[in-house]
Amino acid sequence: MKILTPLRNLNDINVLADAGAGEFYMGFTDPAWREQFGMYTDLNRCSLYEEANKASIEDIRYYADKAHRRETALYVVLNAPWYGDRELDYLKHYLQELSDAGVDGIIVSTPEQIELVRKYGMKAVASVMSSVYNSDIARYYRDCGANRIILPRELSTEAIAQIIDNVPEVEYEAFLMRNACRHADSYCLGLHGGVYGGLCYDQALQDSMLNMPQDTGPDKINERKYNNYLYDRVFRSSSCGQCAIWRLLGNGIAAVKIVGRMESADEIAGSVRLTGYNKKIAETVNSEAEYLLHMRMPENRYDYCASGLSCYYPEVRF
Amino acid sequence: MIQSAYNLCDMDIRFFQDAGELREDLQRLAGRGTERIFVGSYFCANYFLRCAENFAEEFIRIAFESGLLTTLVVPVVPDSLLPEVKDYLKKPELQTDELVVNDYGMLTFCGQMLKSRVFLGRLFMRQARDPRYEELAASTFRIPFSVRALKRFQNDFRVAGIEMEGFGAAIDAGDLPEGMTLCVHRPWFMMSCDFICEDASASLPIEKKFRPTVPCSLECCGVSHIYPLINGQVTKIGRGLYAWQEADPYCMLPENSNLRYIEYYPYTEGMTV
Repeated sequence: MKILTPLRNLNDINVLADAGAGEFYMGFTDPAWREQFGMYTDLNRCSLYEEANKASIEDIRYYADKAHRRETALYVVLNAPWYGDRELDYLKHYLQELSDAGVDGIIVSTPEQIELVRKYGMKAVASVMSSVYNSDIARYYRDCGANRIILPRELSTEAIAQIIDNVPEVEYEAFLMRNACRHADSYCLGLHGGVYGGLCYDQALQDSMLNMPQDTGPDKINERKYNNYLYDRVFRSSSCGQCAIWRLLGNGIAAVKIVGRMESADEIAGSVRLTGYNKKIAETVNSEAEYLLHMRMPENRYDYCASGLSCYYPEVRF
Repeated sequence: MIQSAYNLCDMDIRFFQDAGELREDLQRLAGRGTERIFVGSYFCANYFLRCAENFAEEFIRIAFESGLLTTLVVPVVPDSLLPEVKDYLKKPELQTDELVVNDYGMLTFCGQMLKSRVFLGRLFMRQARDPRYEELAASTFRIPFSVRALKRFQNDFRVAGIEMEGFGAAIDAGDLPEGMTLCVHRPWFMMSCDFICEDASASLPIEKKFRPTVPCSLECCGVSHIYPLINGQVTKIGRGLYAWQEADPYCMLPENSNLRYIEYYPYTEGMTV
């Protein structure tokens, strides 16, 4: 099970590889895309965040070279929510350039990209934007030629195991650490970035209003308000799946993903080191109970860990 | 040709419980030119199953008697509920002439195993729609698929149309293959979708809250959450987040295509306007 981490700067490769990263993913920016398709047609899911896409396409070959010298793989994201005919056509010259640069794979969001990516000799990874929520959807992507599928953050370890059992011919990747959103990745269609921030960010700035039927009693209203407070203010303010590593290994997950394309390498490296440490524990113990006893939780996060509200896979402990 | 449909998906389940009132409401809709009713769910497998178990059959019959056709909308379903949902879709009593699907797995199943015409639902269409940004709201939106893919869906899965949101200044459907229908959701349009249902956790202890696809008692029904934004607001019902656009987008259609408006008001009161 590899540890996949985001990459922003060339110099971060050594820091992250030293910490235990086995794979990297990154985006790039191209002013020509904006000129061609306008401000609001994304090249990748985080196009509007400049910090997440610091490299140009010409830079990518240096990233690929360095990643390979560290015996790691490099994936590039082309996972915008959609691509029409014109966009798909335009992607072809990027794919040629990325293939020439030695990039190992492309993280795609639509079935139509898979054939294209394979044609250019790279691995096609179905992004979380592909919404593979069940085995039938996984089969569809397998049949389209996907080499790997990134599973949605909201799947339980049991649901993940079921998909892998039913469609074992592809690799799977699961989310493990750092920021998570309240919205389903693939169905959140507010602008992701921009001057007002993401929809989730904007939602968190003010209190929401709860409407219930007029005959609702005070106890029910208070219960809902409390529930809403926890949901809006506490739930997933941080995200972690360290307790699930033993299960994910057992499920046959090929890679676990640390997210945070806008965070510093030092912060990411901390998460990678913790994941590497816990992975070693999981590989040596004989049971989940033993793993949970010996594994390490993130530092200074006991309050989050104790409530279960920041767990990617809360079913492991709760 | 412009068709008129009304969307009752994910509607408070109490709306369907009194057959007499339901008949009156449906007749009122038929009287004002509605041709088709959407029922089922875009966002929730639990809701869809409750609908299939409890009232879909009677609803389809009453709608038919009121002069309305029914479109059954199928959400994305977790593996644990897939067999049950597929069984319902195969039941002769629940056969409708149209199905809306929202993922590639269900597209394959319905397109290959069932006889109804299939539409690609709103969850397939992923252009940004965000009324906070005036420039975006003044844009023209294209079909978010390649022509090749749409033609393949038409041939392989009998896809008869696609759904888009009624957001922006115009929808340019010039790439829509011949014979396909463009369906436009209005005046409320979907903006996002929570990854779990907040309401389903209302009565659960903290450490059990906010899990995906937990069994529920449809606690979402009759409840809405309004979120003020810096420049606008969104309303959440169940997992769906909606915003409002008053003006209809102008739709540019190719020849031999149809346009269908799917009206949606998140509250049943909208029905009686």
